[in-house]
Amino acid sequence: MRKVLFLCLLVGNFIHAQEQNSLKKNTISVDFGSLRNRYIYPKTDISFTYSLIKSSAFRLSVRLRSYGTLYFFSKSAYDVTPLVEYYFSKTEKPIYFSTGIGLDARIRLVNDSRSTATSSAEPLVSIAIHGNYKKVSYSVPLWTRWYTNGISYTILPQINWELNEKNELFIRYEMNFLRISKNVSKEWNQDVFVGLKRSLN
Amino acid sequence: MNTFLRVLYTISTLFFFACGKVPTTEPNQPFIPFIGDFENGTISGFHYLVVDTTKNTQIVTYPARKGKYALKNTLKPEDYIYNGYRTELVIYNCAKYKSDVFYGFSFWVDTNYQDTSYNLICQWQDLPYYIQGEVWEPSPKLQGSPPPIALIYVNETLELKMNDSPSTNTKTFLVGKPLTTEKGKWYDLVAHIYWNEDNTAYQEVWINGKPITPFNGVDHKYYHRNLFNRAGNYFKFGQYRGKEKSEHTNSIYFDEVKIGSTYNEVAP
Repeated sequence: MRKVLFLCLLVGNFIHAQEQNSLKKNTISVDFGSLRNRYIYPKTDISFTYSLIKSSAFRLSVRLRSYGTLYFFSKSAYDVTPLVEYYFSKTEKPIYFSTGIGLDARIRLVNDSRSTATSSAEPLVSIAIHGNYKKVSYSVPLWTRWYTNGISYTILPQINWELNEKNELFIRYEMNFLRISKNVSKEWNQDVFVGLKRSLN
Repeated sequence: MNTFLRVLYTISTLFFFACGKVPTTEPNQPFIPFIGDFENGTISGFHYLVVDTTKNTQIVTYPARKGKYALKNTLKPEDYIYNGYRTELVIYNCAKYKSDVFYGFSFWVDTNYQDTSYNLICQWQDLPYYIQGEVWEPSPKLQGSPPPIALIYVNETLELKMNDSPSTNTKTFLVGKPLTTEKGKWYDLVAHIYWNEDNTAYQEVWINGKPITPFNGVDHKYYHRNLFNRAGNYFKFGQYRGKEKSEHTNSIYFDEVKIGSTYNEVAP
């Protein structure tokens, strides 16, 4: 995790600013992930991002994640993650920051007596580094979620490649660290996603 | 100000009660000891993967390993249920992450048993990691894989087999040597298993009091990971042929199915 952060900072410091400002873009993205820990498991995300007020740097994003499918509609589990972020820059630069608060709602629909999964919603705080160079942009958010018995951290570095004015291809790696406070039990897990982002403006 | 505080308090309270637990498994959660000796004349206490309990799982008085009754488990060629040819009884929540558990049962292969290909007498099957959103049948469907541990009856021998990969069916391997058996005779199995997703996990298995797992220089614990994730496994016994249809109707008798914390607690 530290290596990824360091690499992103290093790259960000040496690249140049870009004139085009995608911070004001409203976007929709779809991505798929299936590399999960020791075995393959499908997941699908659909995300929306809106500029809340055109003149300010507040942005709202909502991520809908479904589990167990590459076709989004799932009978088993969804996550809904609304997030409001403030960007400390109104234009794109080689490196800039954002912070935000949100909610991570886990919806578990499995009806199986072997399952211990329950639905819940946890507060989420995000801090992120962003940057761009020519057709490539990146972001490295760190999400912190609080639970009744512990905490989790997720780092979600994403690299976008601009295909044309409207569309970007991206790859995102997610690494989760989950920690139960009482008995100091912890778990690491990871996923990789590839997807397409489209500007709605 | 009071109104503001009240709103803040309400929102905070709502937030607190909406919060759930960290979606990971606590280690070494307690399990409930289990005794399934069929002495009440039923298969109550078990879950079952059986086409017809009146035909596939009958309570009989002969042969009984202890007490008056035993279970006659019959698998006919047409008994296909839940994606496999099977007739199995099931116990949940008995193979939890980082728990140390003893399992025991006795079995008797009917003298009329005819098939020579594989038949899983018992298995500890893995589970989807439900709390992290997983389910049994994702779409697209993934390659099914054999259970992490199984006791297999094949051509009158017993094989303890493990599986190393949740994604393929080509990573199974034999633990110890196959044990030649005879039909029409009781065999007592005791398994001592520490469940973990790394190689601190171990399995130690005895048949009729003799270890069948290899000697490691200290004891007969065979160290190898036996969980694919932290959801734990669950225990099934009976007959399971996967997608391979049996040629004949075969019966195996079971008795003294127990789960506990010590060898003596589960040995018949």
